[in-house]
Amino acid sequence: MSEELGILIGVTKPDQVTFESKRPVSIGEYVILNYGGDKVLGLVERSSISSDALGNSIRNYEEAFESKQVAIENRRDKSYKGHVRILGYVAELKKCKAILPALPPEPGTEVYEASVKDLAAIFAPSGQQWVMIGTLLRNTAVGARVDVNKVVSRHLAVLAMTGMGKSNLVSLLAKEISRISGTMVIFDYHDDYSTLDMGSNNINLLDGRINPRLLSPDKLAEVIEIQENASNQMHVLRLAFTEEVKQRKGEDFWDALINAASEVGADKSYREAAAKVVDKIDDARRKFHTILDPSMTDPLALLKNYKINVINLVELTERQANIAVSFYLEELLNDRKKATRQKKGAAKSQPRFPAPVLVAIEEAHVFIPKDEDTDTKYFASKVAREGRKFGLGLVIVSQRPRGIDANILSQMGSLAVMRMIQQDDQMHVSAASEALSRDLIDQLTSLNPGEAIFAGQWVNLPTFVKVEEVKERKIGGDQKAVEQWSQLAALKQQVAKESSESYIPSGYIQD
Amino acid sequence: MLKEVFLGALRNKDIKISKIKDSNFHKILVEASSRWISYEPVPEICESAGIDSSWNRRAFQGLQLYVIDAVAVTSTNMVLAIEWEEDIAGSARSELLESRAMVMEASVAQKAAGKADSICVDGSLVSRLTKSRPEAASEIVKKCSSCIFISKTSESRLQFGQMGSKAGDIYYYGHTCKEAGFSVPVETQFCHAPLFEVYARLRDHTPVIRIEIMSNASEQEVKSTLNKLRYHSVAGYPYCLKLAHNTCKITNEDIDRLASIYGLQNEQGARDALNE
Repeated sequence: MSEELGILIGVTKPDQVTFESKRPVSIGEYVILNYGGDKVLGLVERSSISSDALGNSIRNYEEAFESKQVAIENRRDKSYKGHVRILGYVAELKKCKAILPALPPEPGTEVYEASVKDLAAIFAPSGQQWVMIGTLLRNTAVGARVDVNKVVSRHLAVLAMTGMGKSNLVSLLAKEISRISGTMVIFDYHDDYSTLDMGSNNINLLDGRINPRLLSPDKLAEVIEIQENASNQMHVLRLAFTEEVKQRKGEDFWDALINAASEVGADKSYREAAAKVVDKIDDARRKFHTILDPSMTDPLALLKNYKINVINLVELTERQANIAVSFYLEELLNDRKKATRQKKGAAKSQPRFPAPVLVAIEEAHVFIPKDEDTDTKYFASKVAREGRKFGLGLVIVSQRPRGIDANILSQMGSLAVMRMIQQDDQMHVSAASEALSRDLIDQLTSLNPGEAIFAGQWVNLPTFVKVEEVKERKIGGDQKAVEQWSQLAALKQQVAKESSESYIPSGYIQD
Repeated sequence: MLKEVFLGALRNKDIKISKIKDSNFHKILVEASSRWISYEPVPEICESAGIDSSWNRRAFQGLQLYVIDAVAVTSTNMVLAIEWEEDIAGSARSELLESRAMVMEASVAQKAAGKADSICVDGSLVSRLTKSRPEAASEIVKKCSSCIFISKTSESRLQFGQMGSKAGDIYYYGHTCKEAGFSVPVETQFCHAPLFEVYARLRDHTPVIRIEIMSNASEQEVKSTLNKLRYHSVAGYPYCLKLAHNTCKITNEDIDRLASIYGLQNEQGARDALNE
């Protein structure tokens, strides 16, 4: 048995107890209670220290100063209290089952520090699906593992303020999935993953490009930036974007589309609209030539099985990125449906992805917004609902949870929540997930970068984790402006000196 | 309470306050000021012990459950001595319980003697002897000969009574200035032993306390006593007395728990009919 930590006091409940401790206890610390002949695990969710002398009745600084002096010498002055949430019987937790005792423990029950052996059996179970993601925050000797099967089947939300380690966690997940030869697709909106170094064979970097020929007229209108309320221009594009035009590849496609739009403009009532559409097409052709590629093959064919596919969306506008993400989500879901049907012998053609795929969407509040209907939101919602059956997992990543559609957020079976200060965000996460108690939500403001609360189906229990830093990820942090300016200034000075030296005749300056 | 009480207070507050701050008030303040010696005590490292007692009772029909306890505790929260008594009796008058508590205080003071540099008893010796039974008085005096008695409030009008004061002497010393210091020691009319009373303020802008010293109190001896009291004092009050109070305090909840131990919880209580 580990060292005794304290004794239960006050009113005890089957799921919540308070104990008086010998020493200050940290939030996130695990404790063991022995009662009813079994060991029960608890998590310290709140901790407080109070002083008899330095109570709330102190009226001024002088009084506080004097009280501090007497408190120092009074061995009984301090009270260390820990508020514990009972998590379940240790023996059952080791079997990944959280069973709460029916009876509350009696006040006076001793509280012990949880041993590394017990914690390791619960938080770092063995099995291929359990991947190492860091250590327990308050007990770094114990590894923290997560169940990747559950991530793929029940989805995951990674939520935190900027700079708290969201991309690091996704990178770590990608690294571990790559290690077990899994397939993952990351929509990289901020170019955070292009330098993720996992060995050339394990990562597939792609530029986010759109084949306009594969789009519907409405989506093409969005891509070439025709306003939604420009109904005449939309009409012209719909008429011009014929099956015949769609068959043309490369530059031919644009020429054919412009010709077709001009032909529609022969009708007097659409002349002006057609001229505008031709301008828009021409504009888009020049401005977005690196993004809109009518000669590219099926974009899904560029994604590779058993690799981490990073689709770089940095050059796309928000609307274009939205169309690109929705396109991939739709195609991936259809492909996974085909793969499932094929297993049952129902599909005729071969699917591109015979095994489950995990998709990560950064900036989820942009692509899956609360108050707006987007194509990505529609398909993300479908993946969230149906992905489990077809082996398509969704990871949504956001620094603004209150901006994410609540319906989709509530379908994320697992959560990784890091430091979050905004109360609106906390309330939104709390409302969307049953896995996080109010007490745990209250702790979010006290987390440091790289520290997280994991909850939901990918862990046996709500867990405070110190997430491992991915060394293979070279950028992602903030740009160091002063350092870069200094380097540039030094370089400029050197260049100026060198260039002026060339004008000085040799021997002009005597040593 | 009747709302008329508040209305009456609002109407008559000036008249009632003027009874205290009458024409004598400023005259007494001047006198108090002339007896006040400014002195900033220099903390002297010492182990002080506080002594306090408490009593409480719960009345049932025809029965009284009572508890009395007394404790001597140091300013580092070390308990030096305790005494207690709890019983069920047909009658437990408050004067008897108070008298008994004082005897217990004297007893723990005797046990604590020699274990601390300075022993402070909560309350006035004179006041407690007037309340206790005569046979107990000499016992208290004998056992507490080395103690000093400290009161936060006092009704004593020994010093300014003859000047027609309406409030206790402590009120005038409290209003004469706000600086640390003490009043010239005055011998009380106490038949058992020489007993001097001193009003003192341990730090600037803290409340005045009344100290009784059971020996000849020279100015130098008073200063030495104040230096010891100043060490481990909070807001001008010895911390050992605060700890003693908190340690021995008997709350109504404590009495209820005791009643439960005695199995008296189902007895009709004095206030049951009032649902209190």
